Amino acid sequence: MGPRIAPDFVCVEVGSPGPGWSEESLNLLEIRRGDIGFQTTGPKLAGVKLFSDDWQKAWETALRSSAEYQDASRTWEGALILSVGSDVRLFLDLHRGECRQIRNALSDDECRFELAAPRDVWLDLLQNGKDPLYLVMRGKLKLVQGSKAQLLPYSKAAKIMLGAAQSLPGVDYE
Amino acid sequence: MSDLTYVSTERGLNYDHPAWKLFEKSKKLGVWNPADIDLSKDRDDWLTLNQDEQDILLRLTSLFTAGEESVVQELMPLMWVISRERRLEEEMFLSAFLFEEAKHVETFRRFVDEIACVNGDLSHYHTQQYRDVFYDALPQAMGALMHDNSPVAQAKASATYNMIVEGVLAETGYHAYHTILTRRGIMPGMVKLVELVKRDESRHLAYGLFLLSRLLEEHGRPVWDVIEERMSELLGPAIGVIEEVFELYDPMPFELTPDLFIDFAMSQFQSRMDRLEASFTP
Repeated sequence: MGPRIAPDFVCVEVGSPGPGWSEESLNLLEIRRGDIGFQTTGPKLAGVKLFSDDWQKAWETALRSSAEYQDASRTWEGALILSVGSDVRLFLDLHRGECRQIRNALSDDECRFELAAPRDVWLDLLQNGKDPLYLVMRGKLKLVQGSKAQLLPYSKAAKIMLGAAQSLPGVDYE
Repeated sequence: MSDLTYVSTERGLNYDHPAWKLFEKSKKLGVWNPADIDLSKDRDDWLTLNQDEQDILLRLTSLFTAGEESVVQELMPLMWVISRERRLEEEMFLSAFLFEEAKHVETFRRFVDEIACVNGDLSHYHTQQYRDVFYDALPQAMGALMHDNSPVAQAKASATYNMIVEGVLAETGYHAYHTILTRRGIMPGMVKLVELVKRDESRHLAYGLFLLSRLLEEHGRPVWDVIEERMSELLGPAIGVIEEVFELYDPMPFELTPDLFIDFAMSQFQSRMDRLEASFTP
């Protein structure tokens, strides 16, 4: 089993990787904890609001340390925008298995694909663990930019990517 | 003394039952004979195709032939469960359903024998994701009914058989195949046969939707959850079957595009799932 972001990852002592953790993922987490003020113990993500800057950073860290995601998306090129209702647009700078950045989208950002859905559909994905391909096929998660035929081969990568966000501990979904 | 009763003499037949109405249609529309369709012009057209065009038609046909064989083989456990529940109108329709699927095996095998005239083993055309669905997921879900006839097991089996195998893969494949042949104006015999197969399959899908709707109305949330779970498990491999075909050709024969398959599969899937969801109030 490859490195994973466990729901309790902030409880892992720095320097003592748990089963399935690579040295690289531990290092990245250690760095990121410092970036967003994590301590080495305690569920310090508690109260971080869904889609907030801190949440975006935590997700970015999770993707950077996921060998499973890197493997599944190694041929992926181009940015992705995720639109949540009319309030939130996230820009994911993804390139060949690397998550270079996750931030709020700017009005002139260009992307290869844009997926849009109301907030309740994103909650189904991020909180309730629904499958992204299922929601795309149902027409609930809409591809508003890009080709379905080019996106669907990456359904496994999308599932892993969203799974990393689902595993972030203590997120405030309200 | 046996406590067996016979529905047909005990309560009679329900001629308003949705499955009975499908059975009526099968008696009128499902009795065509694959051997009656002339394929001589199709053979002539085959000989004019280039190697890649022949290969993709033979590939698709081999997927359809084995797929139809698998649905013949795997329908029995569902028929057994429905029979045990004494749902006679449904059992009678399922008997026609099985007969029609058997004719579909003959239909696509005629292409291999009389148009392509190929004798060898075609199972090398069965790629990994196709095998995941037809060699593993479908037999497992249907076979499970032999020891578990619960509503959830029935819903899992029907979601696999009707919604994924028939609803996403077969119907989409036949749509694309029909589009290839009609767009090029070739193989009138196969065009006619595929139209007849599609008409039969529309009844089979209607029965699948009826069965799942009935299970949802009777048992609610656990049935809905297993349908969604099954769709989430199998949509990836099902779409993967389409992707695998496109990965093998460059350029794609007949100017086929993945969108032809995917747009059709999505629209059909959406309308069916919307209908199922409407029959269930979470």
